[in-house]
Amino acid sequence: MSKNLFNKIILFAVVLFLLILAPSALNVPSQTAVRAICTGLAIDKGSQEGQVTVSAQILIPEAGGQYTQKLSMVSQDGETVEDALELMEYQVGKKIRLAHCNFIILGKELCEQQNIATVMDYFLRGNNIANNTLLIYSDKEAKELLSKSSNINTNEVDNLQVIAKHNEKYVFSGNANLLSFYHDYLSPQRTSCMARITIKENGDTDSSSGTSGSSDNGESGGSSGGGGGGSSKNTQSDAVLSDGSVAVFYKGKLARILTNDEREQFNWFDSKITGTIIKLTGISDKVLNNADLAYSVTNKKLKFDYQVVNNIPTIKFKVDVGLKLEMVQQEDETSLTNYDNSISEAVSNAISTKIENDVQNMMKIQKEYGFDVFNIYKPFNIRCHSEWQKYLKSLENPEDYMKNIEVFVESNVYSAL
Amino acid sequence: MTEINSRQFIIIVVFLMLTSKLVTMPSIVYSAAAGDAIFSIILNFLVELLLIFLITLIIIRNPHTSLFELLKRKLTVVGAVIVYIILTLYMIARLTLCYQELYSFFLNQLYDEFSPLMFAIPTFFVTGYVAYKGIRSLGRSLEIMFWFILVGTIISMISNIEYLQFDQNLPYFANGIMPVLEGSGRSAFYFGNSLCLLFLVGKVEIKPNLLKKTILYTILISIFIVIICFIFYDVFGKSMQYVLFALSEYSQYDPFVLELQRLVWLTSIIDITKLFCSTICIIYCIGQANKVLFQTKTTLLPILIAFLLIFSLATLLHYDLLIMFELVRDYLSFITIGIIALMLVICIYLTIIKTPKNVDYQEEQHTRKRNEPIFAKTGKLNENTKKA
Amino acid sequence: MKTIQQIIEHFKTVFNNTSDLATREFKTKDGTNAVVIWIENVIDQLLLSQNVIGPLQKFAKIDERDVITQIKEEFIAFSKVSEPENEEMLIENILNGFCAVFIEGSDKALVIECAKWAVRTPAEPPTSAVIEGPREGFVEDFITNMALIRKRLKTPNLCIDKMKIGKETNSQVRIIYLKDVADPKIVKKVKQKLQEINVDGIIDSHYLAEFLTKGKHSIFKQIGSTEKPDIASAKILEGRVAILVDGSPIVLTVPFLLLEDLQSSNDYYTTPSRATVLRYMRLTAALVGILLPGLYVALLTHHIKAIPIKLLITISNSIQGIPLTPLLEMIFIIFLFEVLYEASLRMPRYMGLSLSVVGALILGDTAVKAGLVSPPAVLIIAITGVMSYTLPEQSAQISLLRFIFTILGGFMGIFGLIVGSIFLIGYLVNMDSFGAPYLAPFAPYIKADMKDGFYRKSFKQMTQRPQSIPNTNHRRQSNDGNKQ
Repeated sequence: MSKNLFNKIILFAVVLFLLILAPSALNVPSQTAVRAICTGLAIDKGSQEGQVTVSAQILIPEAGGQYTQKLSMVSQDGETVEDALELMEYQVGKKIRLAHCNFIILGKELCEQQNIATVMDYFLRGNNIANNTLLIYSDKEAKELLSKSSNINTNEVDNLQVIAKHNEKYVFSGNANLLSFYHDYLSPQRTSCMARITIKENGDTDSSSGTSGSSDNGESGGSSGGGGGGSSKNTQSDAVLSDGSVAVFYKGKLARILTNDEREQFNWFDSKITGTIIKLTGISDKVLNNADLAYSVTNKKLKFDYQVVNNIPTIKFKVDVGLKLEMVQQEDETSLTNYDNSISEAVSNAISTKIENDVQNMMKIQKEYGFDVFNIYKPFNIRCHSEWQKYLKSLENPEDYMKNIEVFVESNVYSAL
Repeated sequence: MTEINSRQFIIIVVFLMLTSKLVTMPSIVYSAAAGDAIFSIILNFLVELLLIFLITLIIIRNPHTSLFELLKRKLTVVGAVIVYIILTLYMIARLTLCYQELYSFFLNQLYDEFSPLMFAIPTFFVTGYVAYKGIRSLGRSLEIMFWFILVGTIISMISNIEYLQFDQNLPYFANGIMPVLEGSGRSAFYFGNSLCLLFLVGKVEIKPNLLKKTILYTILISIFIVIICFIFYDVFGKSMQYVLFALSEYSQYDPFVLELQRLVWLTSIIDITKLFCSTICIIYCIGQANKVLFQTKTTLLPILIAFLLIFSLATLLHYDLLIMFELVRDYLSFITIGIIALMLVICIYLTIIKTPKNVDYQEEQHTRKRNEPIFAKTGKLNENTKKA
Repeated sequence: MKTIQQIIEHFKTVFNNTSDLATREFKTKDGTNAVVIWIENVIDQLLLSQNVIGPLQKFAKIDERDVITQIKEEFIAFSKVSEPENEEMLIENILNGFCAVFIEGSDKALVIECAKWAVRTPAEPPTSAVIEGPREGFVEDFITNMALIRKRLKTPNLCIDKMKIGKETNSQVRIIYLKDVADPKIVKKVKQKLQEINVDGIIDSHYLAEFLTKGKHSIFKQIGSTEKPDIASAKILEGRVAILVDGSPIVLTVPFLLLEDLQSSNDYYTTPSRATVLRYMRLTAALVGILLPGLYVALLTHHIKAIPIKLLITISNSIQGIPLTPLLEMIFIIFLFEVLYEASLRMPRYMGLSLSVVGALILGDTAVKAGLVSPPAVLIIAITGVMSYTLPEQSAQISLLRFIFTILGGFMGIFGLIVGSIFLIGYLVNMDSFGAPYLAPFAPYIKADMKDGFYRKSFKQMTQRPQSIPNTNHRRQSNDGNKQ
């Protein structure tokens, strides 16, 4: 075969290929015309037993529209999430695209009654949704929260995501996304956490903050540093509220909602979270007399020592806390002029007691429900593997390993300037 | 005739080692060896390093002989043809998997629907074109893509390094050594790529420190891949079963990536380019092997035959990733162990044979070239001009 | 022996009675008939009458030697005077601005150069303007051009070889190189290729460039071209061979590397760090110029999941209601853009300004308002249009590649772009220009040449000539940067 002929054949083949492709390729419409872009999902328990209701927030393009686009809601019941989504596709007349889905809201009833790991399995198997899609727990119907979120605050598509992300970073450490949920679910502790966001009912809202004020409120919200303030995003009637509480899932089901205070107790085991405010009441020392104090935690240095002694797993928990004085209140204000940031013995003792109580309370809650938020299983298994395995074997149900674990707390408080 | 320089040779070695291992291999190993998967990978790398060392040694000792001639001399014609047939079959199987991997990658990561024909024709055309143009063009193309791919891989690797939990997979060897061996057995297929290097015998410009450099780079790349896998396993841990394509799902663990939206997508492009590169390398080898087997002048016909074979194979498998994985797990990986073992023996046999005479000559020539003042001629000229 | 009348008749026949063949008959002092023949308009008339015809009229035979020899040796004070050996040379000389003198009684002729071609003064070329640096540009006269190069390379090593190409045009071609630097093989190859050219005429150096190019269909240029003597001299210094064609202000240089278009003469008249940044910028701009429309179409038709949600909302809102599919829309705008560009080049200058206003404002704006095209698509083409002109020498290639990649992106999505890129790389690495790999020093990687590749180091550090271009003397300066 001469080179020239070969070149001609190749050229002919390429041209033929392009010609065959051309009519269909030139007619490929934009995917926005044939795909419904979903920005958020909500999953609830279905109206019938064994069904789920899936609601999706869908973007409808509008000629000349702004990026603060109006979103519409679609909802369908189905045996599984996949079924519901399929029905939804029939309803919308477009394929549902989940790649832009920022969060999945899970309803209360669903979380209490069904194993959400099996409900959401569809999302992880396929590649149509990002593995780091945020998970949010709603106290009410997930659909309701989703519909509220699509209307609030100049219709931004990602406001719930902003709150949930803030929670991930400052309120409780660790991720609350699809993959991390499964990661924890499949680990021996089988415990996962996610932010709890609820709806503030009408009437609680300050009437003075109208529509224009609401967006500002939303910006500055985002739950201030775990201080318990939480964030609130208002509309004229209802508001989305995150008060810093956390939903803990054990074996895929909702085990308990940790209130803001309880969550702060849990945070002692987490070195990443600082900025927590500690309030002390009725402190008396050389300067103070029955004063109320508030300290913020600026530094936290944790040390864990895991041992299995006489078949009882023990954790020696040592914490060095750097504190900064934030507030002093007392009736007699004259003596306060000299009061500096140094920490007196009385304060130190009070804080140490508080830490001790918090940690023990935390362990109590964990033992009660059997979950293991900080994955204590792992360090025990690594550091004292054989004793730990022995301990597990000695239990009736190895999954209840939390019930015998004891914690000894040693705290050291210093002033951080 | 030497066609590529030693730098290009090293880059080809690096590509063959780096490319397809970072796509689906880590999850396959994990499914077999769980937390100890990293040791399976290290074990396999040791074997691959040995193979690369031996092949490089053969290349250095036979700078002017082609592989077929070499085999013919040592193993007679029948032996050489048998080795060639084994290598060709292995390469074709490997190429099929590369195409499968590439296609599944597109389907899973980038496209909602993607017709196999639309994929196959341009891929065959482009990979065939670069391979047909010869090893020189391949070496240069890889040189261009090398930095892009290396930087891309490193970026995607460090994107979620803060989620690393070193104790994720501890304690190691909880279930003994067997899972490790099983893991390395199942992934052996991915470590046979270096057999391609055999076809470079007699085509590389030999420099005195080639062996040292090749070994250094292969060790570095092995360490690099092991680190990537280590991070991968320590980030994903138990949720590995949901993670199929290693690098492109890497960045999905990071919530901040969601804000940038799809770094995933960028890493996908890098993965695809890498897969393309390894595919081209393999096609080149098939072309070379078939050229000898079918006694053709150019590699065009051999490549076309390989494509036809693969196309029918791929159609038979319906471009199904799962069927492909089953094949890899159950049959091909264990056959690969046999092939690699056989090739190791052959390589050792080829290397222990006495060094041909012309090696000394080559060495001498190179040292002379290096010691020779490059500008001697010019210096004289300048002097002459000055005098004039 | 012919009479003067016969001579005139003969030349009229040779030149086919052309109207611009001028003759002047006169008698010398001793009464001998004489004639001067020349081509009008290429001769300095004043010079001819005062310094040729005037003195000849006063000429009288001195001794027995040939009249022509006497005139040549003792009477005419011109530097370029010769006695052509045959008629062919004589005719050629007349065509090249010489006047021919015939004296009755002598069978010889004398040719005297008194040419006056229409010559432009060296001005700054419009294609490669610099902010700081020499502003001289080549002109259409090759003698001036050679002088401009000589001015910069004052060395006996500078060789200028003569050649003539074109049966009808008889164009003067000069091959310029540094003898102890340029690779003799390349010089030989250039000469050989030029000698093989058998064509009726060479009007401009681009004609030659096509004859020197390997292959018929390549869209990439394989021959360097410049309008500036400083660039040409720098390239000759690096070991390249320059080719000058009479009548063309473009000087060709071989071998040519793709890198050369990434470099700009500005790079060498500014600080190395600035030059490095500019080079990266140019490269990025070129890549964006090639790939952006294709990427946009690919994303929109195949991979919306790769577009961030906020951007997606903006885009989806603006393409809502556009009747064309993204690919067709993009092709339409590219076509419009190229037509506008072409028309603005061709249009008389005073209309060009109004056209650009019409094109940019009215056409674009109306098309968007009419809902025919979407604002993002117009924006993308505007961006890529600007970007492609950061590499002015490659803008034609960039716009062609842009079109191809748009089609690939529309047909196959990101897969098409990747396949296209790999093919392009595979194609480019195979190319070479007179033995120099086209993509050097990147592929094959030549470490020493990276000093003036992706980045530019200071002149002190550039101690060697580029190794990508074959040359016989690598050393530019001694290692310490001092004078040898």
